[in-house]
Amino acid sequence: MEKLLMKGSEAIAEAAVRAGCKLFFGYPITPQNEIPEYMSKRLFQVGGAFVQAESEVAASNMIYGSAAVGERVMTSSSSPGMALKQEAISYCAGAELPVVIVNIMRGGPGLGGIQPSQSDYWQATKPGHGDFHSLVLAPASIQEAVDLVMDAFDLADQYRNPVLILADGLIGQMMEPVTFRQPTERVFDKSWAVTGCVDRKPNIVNSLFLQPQDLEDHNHKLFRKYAQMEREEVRVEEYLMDDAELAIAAYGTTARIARTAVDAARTEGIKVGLIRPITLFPFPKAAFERYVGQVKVLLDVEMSMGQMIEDVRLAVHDRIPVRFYGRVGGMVPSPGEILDQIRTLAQEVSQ
Amino acid sequence: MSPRIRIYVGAYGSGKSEIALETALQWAKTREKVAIADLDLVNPYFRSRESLTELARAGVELLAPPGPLAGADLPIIVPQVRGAIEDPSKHLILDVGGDDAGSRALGTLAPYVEGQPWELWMVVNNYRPFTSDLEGLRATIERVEGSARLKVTHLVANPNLGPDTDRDLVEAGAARIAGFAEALGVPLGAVVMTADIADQMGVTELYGVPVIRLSRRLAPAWYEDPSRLSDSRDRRAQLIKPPLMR
Repeated sequence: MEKLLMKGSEAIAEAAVRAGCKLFFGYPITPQNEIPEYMSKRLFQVGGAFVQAESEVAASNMIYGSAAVGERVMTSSSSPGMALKQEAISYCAGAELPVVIVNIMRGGPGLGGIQPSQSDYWQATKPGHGDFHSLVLAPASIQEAVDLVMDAFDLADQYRNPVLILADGLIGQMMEPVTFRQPTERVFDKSWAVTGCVDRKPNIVNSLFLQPQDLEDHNHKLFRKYAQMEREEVRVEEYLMDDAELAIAAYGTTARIARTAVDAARTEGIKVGLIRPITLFPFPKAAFERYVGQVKVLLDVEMSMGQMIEDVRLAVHDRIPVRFYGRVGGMVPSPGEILDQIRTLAQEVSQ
Repeated sequence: MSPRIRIYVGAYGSGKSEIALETALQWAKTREKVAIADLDLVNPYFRSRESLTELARAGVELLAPPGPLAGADLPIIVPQVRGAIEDPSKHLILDVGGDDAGSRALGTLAPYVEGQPWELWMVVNNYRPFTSDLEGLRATIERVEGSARLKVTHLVANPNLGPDTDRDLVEAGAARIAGFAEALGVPLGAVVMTADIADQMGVTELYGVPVIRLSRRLAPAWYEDPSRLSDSRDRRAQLIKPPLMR
């Protein structure tokens, strides 16, 4: 397979095209502008279409419409823009529409800044209005971003549910070598799509259920899908966990920085490992729970004030103390800072 | 000595900023009053303005948006850039943003550049998507020249795959880009490679032009080979049963 050097945002866009994405609707915001820019040049080459919408709200309603007619469709944005997209994402979940959404996170709150951040964990995993979940995938390298985007389209079709790629600004802006695998040949039933009803009853794509009992039934149906995701779609990477007495929980770029710190701590004889959630919903609870009794302290590291830490704590139910280290506002933690935290915890544990 | 204004353009991510920084630091060893202008209006991260301390230490003047504006995605060209273009005592490197969108900033300065001694070096990495073949490169050059309103005078070969770069890959890429240069009738200005690969090859010149030895200044300190991350596609296999919906 031919290797290319690509920027994260470009690679995410190209992966979508190769997965069969024909339609893209977006609105510019740093640091993800390369995704719509790439799509604006590329989609017409594959018979697709690109529209720069008048707003994020419009773009996310356009993906609703495109998914409803059975097309593979994507939109992308960054943190404040994602907040604007939330309403239509909830509509997509309610109407069971397969859509792929990319969030390249920047610092907040408010307008914040344009440097990398992970402060949309809550927004991604505990999203918009109503009871619903998007399936959330968090890449830690450009290659992984490519692979997860290609998977995202299959997962969206399989579950008829929004799939969100959640990456910090560094994943969007960094350059790394990538290869593109062939897309899967999976065929998905789209007999529900509104494609013009000839010789069949009309299909209706809607999230409106005015009878309370119907809406409750619909919620239960959606949550059976989320339960299936929890059984079948959890992805997590564990690093040097076999004999670990300390463990770091981190995702995305932060996990790569933490790994460098783990390696350094290991050379000092500290038994420390790393648990890297790849799916943020469904969260890899079991990967944490299984270390109750072995790991003495968990250190959650994020480029936020501490969001994923809530899920880590729920996973271990106070049976392992969970500490936190985070940088925000576009500040990226260094391996040395994390190593200092590991050293302090190692000392505490040995006393 | 080459003309006192050297402009670097190229496709997105071709390596312009790293090469511009290296050139500035090299010039500072043999020339007086060296300045580098960060004209990157399109790229929010990994810009030459991030190397302020190292440039200051070498006595290179950095012309970039000051203070908090340096971290903004605003289209700012500081007025000192035009001053340096027109000051015959300055040795000036212009680090321009990627593609035709980035070159538009240069287009606004082209009228002032034209009357001065200048060269426009187009950085080419044949392992990037849009400049991997002659047709793609030709189209990119046309777009860049169109918005820069200046003609490319040299190609710079920067064949690399980031952390996956090795000697064979550099040799093959440099040969390919030298071929592009010949086909386009544009001379090669330099071949770029990391210092360790230049040492392995034992070269200071290639295809009759100097080798620029690069150290990656804008890469983050934590950066490591992504191949060490395991393949997420295999992850589902090793799952233990997650607890359900508690």
